[in-house]
Amino acid sequence: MKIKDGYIIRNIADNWIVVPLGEKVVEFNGLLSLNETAAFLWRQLENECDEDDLCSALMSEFEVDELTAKKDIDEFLQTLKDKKLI
Amino acid sequence: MRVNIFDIQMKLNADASKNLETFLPFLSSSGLPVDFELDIQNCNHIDAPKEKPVVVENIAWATVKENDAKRYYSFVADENPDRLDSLLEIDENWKKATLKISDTIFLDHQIVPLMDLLFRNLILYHDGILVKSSSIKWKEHGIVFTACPDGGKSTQANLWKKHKNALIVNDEMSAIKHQNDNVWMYGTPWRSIESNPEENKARLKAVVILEKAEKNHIRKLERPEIIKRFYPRCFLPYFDQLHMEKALENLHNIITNVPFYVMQCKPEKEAVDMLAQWLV
Repeated sequence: MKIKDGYIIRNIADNWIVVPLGEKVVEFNGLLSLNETAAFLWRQLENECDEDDLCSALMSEFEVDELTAKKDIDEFLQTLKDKKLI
Repeated sequence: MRVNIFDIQMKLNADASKNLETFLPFLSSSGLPVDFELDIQNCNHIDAPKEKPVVVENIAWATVKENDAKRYYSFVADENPDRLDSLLEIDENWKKATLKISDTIFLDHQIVPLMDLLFRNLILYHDGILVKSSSIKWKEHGIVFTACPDGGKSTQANLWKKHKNALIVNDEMSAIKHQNDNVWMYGTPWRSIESNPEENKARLKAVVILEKAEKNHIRKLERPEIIKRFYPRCFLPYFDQLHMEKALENLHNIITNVPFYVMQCKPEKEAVDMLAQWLV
């Protein structure tokens, strides 16, 4: 899975945000604000990867246990699916 | 004609018939190098570029690559592409642009929206951004009021004029620029109320996000809160990633160098006094 084209993520004044580009503006009104974990996962998802890849990357980056990592990933992926971003 | 707008040195070239009165208050005799040159041309036929444009809010943007250089084209999206009323053509580095206007169009009607469009993007390359706002100058300080539509921006600016003798710099749109760790506020030439360029610029003291309320209350915003509230009030270049990255970089530099407040208020003098106390 992979984030759809047409979005960029940046850290603006201590806040990770995702903004749409081009005609995505119509379907994605405003911006998406992300915490550190979600922003990390978003950046992983800018390249094709699966849940195992995300889990390994998250555990390595944030030193969290596998159960916590999987829970965070499931929640974030569901958010992205709800917003049709992957 | 040489003008200075937002501290951008510009050369405007137009046919003799063209009306550039809007820019007369901004005439400049500066010896600084020209940052941007705009040709305004009358044309009897204007074609849209062949490339498929990105359309955002009824403005079409096409990026054309020729050899190693890019050019940007912009026009009103619902016009007949075989016979446009107007077309903006801009070079890759935002140093030179041509505004083509159909002979059949009265210039003053066409120039304002296209100039808005041009300046919204040109300023990105000069460390700034345009914001839907009313702006005032008070004791040499710039204050920008922004809000949702009908959120009381103009009302607040006029209250400051009435009770604090502030100057209304612009009632619809302001430019904000970050330069050398300072943040500056400018009026825009075609919407300014006080269009004297000397009065049109001030060091920005604060950005105040207004909310209508039954009780006056103000608080300083923490950094993570600012972007969510301020972003919707900014003119952003959704048509292109490179431009958006510049806009976000400028936003970051502005937000981290000037205080932002949220003020819930009634349209009354007490709200003005409350804010003034926070700003002294």
